[in-house]
Amino acid sequence: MKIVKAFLSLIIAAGLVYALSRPWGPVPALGPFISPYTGFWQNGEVLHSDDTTLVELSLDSLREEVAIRYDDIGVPHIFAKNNYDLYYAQGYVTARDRLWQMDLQTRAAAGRLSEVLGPATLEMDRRNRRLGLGYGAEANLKVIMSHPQSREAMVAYAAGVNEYIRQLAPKDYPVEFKLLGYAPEPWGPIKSMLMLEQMTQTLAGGADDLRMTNILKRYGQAVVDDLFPNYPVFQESPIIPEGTPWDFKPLPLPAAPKPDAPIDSSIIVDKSLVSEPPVEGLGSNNWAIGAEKSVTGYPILANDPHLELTLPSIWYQVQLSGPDVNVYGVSLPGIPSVIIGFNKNVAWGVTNVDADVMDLYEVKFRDTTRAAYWHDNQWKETRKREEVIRVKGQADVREEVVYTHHGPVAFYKGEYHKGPTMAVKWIGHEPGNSFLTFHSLNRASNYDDYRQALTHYVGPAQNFVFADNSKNIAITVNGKFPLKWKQQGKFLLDGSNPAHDWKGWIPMEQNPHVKNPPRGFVSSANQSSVDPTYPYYINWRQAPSERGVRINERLQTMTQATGDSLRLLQNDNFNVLARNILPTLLTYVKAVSLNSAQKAAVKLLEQWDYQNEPTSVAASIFEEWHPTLADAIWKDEFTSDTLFMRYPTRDRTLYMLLNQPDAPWFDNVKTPARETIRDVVAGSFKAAMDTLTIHHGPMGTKWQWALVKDTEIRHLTRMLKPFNTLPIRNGGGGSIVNATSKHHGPSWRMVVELGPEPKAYGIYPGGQSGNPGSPYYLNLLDTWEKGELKELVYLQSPDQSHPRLTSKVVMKKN
Amino acid sequence: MEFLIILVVAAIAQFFLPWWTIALVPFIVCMWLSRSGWKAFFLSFAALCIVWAAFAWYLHDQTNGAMSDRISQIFFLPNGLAMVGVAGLVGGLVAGFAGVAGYHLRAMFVRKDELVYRR
Repeated sequence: MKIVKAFLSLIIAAGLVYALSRPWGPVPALGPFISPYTGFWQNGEVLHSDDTTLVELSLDSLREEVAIRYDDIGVPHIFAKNNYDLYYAQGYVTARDRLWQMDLQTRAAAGRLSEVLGPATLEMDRRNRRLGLGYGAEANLKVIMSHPQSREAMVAYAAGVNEYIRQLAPKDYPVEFKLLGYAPEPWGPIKSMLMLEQMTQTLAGGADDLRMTNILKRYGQAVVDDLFPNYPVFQESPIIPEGTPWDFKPLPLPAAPKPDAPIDSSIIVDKSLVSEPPVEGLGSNNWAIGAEKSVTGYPILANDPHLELTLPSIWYQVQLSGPDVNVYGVSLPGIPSVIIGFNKNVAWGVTNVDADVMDLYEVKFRDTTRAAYWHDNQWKETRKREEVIRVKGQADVREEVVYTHHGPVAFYKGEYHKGPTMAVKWIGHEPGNSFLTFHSLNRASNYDDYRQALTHYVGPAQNFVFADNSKNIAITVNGKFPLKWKQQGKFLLDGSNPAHDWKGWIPMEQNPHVKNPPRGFVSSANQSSVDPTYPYYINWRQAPSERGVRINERLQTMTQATGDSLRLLQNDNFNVLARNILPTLLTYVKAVSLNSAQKAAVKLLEQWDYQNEPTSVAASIFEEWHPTLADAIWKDEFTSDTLFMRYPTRDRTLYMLLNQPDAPWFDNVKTPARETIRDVVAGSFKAAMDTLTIHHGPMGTKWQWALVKDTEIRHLTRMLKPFNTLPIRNGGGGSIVNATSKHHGPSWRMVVELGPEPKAYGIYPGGQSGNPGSPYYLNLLDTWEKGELKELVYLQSPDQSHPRLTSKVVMKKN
Repeated sequence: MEFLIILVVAAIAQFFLPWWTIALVPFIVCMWLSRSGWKAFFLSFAALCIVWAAFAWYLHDQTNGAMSDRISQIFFLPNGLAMVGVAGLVGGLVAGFAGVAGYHLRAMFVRKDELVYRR
């Protein structure tokens, strides 16, 4: 009996300890997680508002003393006596606030998510391995480590991150590590490169080559030329103003081969393997007004990059002050230096360039060993890269990625899809030192420094807007752009034909740019970089024009502007698309019979001032309606269960609606009747009304745009709802200057008034800390939601007194 | 007596040792001191329930539930205070069962009267 009791009680106790010591599916090991000594309880933080708080840290491998002042929103202002210490400290403080984010984002790029998340992310990991993000990161690392300044920054930053990690006991790990049950691993410069690859993938990692090829095969060249033109036909306001002279002697373009796509391939891709080109909402605005338009007598610059809105924010504010630099702005956690910001003399910002820098090449292997592929009438050897994907709770998965001179083979015939075997040629594999561009911009003091800094840049291509206190403004469509024949890469390319290879690059100094244009401002909103007179081919389509059109028409009339005028423009909710198309659409709707709710909606739309205000019901109706209309026009011809295609651009659709009312495309080929433009417009209007009614009840206050749009900012895991924000109630929309949609929007808003002393303002939705238990996790959200900005505290010295400064950290050499 | 020893030793030891110290301490202490299985369970339960709940409540209160309120939602609980209850319960149960095991293990080798005598 005694033995039984002893045995049973031991089993129960040991079993309980064991069960609480191991994870169960997505549930972390509950013992250490719930323990107040080691668990999530330890991750709650309190606000330190006391400005006498002084923390002294003794750190290894620091060279001299570093002073860090924190301000009331949690921004570190780092003062170092040499650049090594500066980036060391940046690595340290960034890791302190964002360690898990840094781990996750570089893990995703490296194709190593399954290591910590299990088989659910295996396909994603495999895709990134095949896309060669790690290969690209390694290629970039070689270049970056061979340059003394970039090397110093990378090595110092890594040392700082690692010093922070080294100090952590398991109880100190960010709560996400505790939830997922793994520990932070050491940082290294390769991870900074992976972070850059991740940005390149987000911003320049999409291609619609396959969709376009399918359309070409189904409908022929004439339809492609008509419906998919290489420049907007209805409306455009290009980034480099029309009429800007191209004062250079262009290189000759490579001759377009005939045919310009493989003829023998039968492309039928029934599933998208390639990321789509950036969705609307993944774009940005920036502009600068010249001294003559501002009340200050100096230029004013504004930038708001639109990305997926996440918690923590993709950006991290920091001030970096060292022997040759004093810069403030936002950094990307994982990369030393400031990416968007200002210093005493200059300010700069970026928006994405929709350049075609990812092309697919059909390749043929000699045999199943994939040791050789056909190119230039001979078999050429491939190179192979063994990728080992570790999977939590499972055996390792080995993936042999085959490289041709084009790039890695990402897709195999017969695997997932019915398309051909394809290699990817991508700017993300091109070695370079894009980091040095930012390192140099941080230290720039004039226009020449800015132009010089840009020469190092490879990708993802950005529109770099610039202003300085010598009253220059400028914008450069900047990146390494392949020298292409017109339309090269619009369709699948022939990987065996050397004429289809990329043939060099557009010389950097010939990248589109303009300095101090007569109109007194420069701007970009991802729209067409240039008008068709530019001698080179960049892409057949770039982002829709509406934001650019609106920004340019407002800047055109702007005088006596202040920083606040530009802030108001960042929050502009005017719907250019509605102004362009709504009056015409309503004439068709009013020609059919409507029920009373539909009549009331028409009346609302007629009275609408085209503002996507949070309370506007008309905005909701229009925003629901126009994609429904696009479906009604194109879905019958340009979607298919077997053939992967895309719709013509919005610009081309608008042109047809306004100028080609008898176009055959309005007919729904799936019905025996012959539909007219009126049927399609009115039918889609009624369908949109029905959709809104189903989701939001009868037309009323629940149809207000903020409620229908329902913007939500999610934690990076996308599944831990308690770490998300509550629903956001603001205006805007995908094609609006205030580009806030469901999950995307202005991830950072900045306005800089240049002058003898710069005055700058900025905000992002979230806060400096990535810790959901920190008072700095969401402290900036309300200000962002209201469309306001915070003044950015730009210090000149570590001892300067400022009412908004709080605690101070002094790092001392150990 | 064992209640106090468990409480103090476990409360301090956990700053240096892993979470399962909350099983180890009552296991050893009860093996050494306990007179009955029931007592071993309840005294161990009470000691660690108090330690975990009190420390959890302290951290919860200090931070105004900044983290505990969010985590409680993941566990489908109303707020961080409920999470404090969960911590107390888990800590108590682990300690309780470990205490019983300690008591019975010793009881296996020792006569009942000897146990009483030592006490």
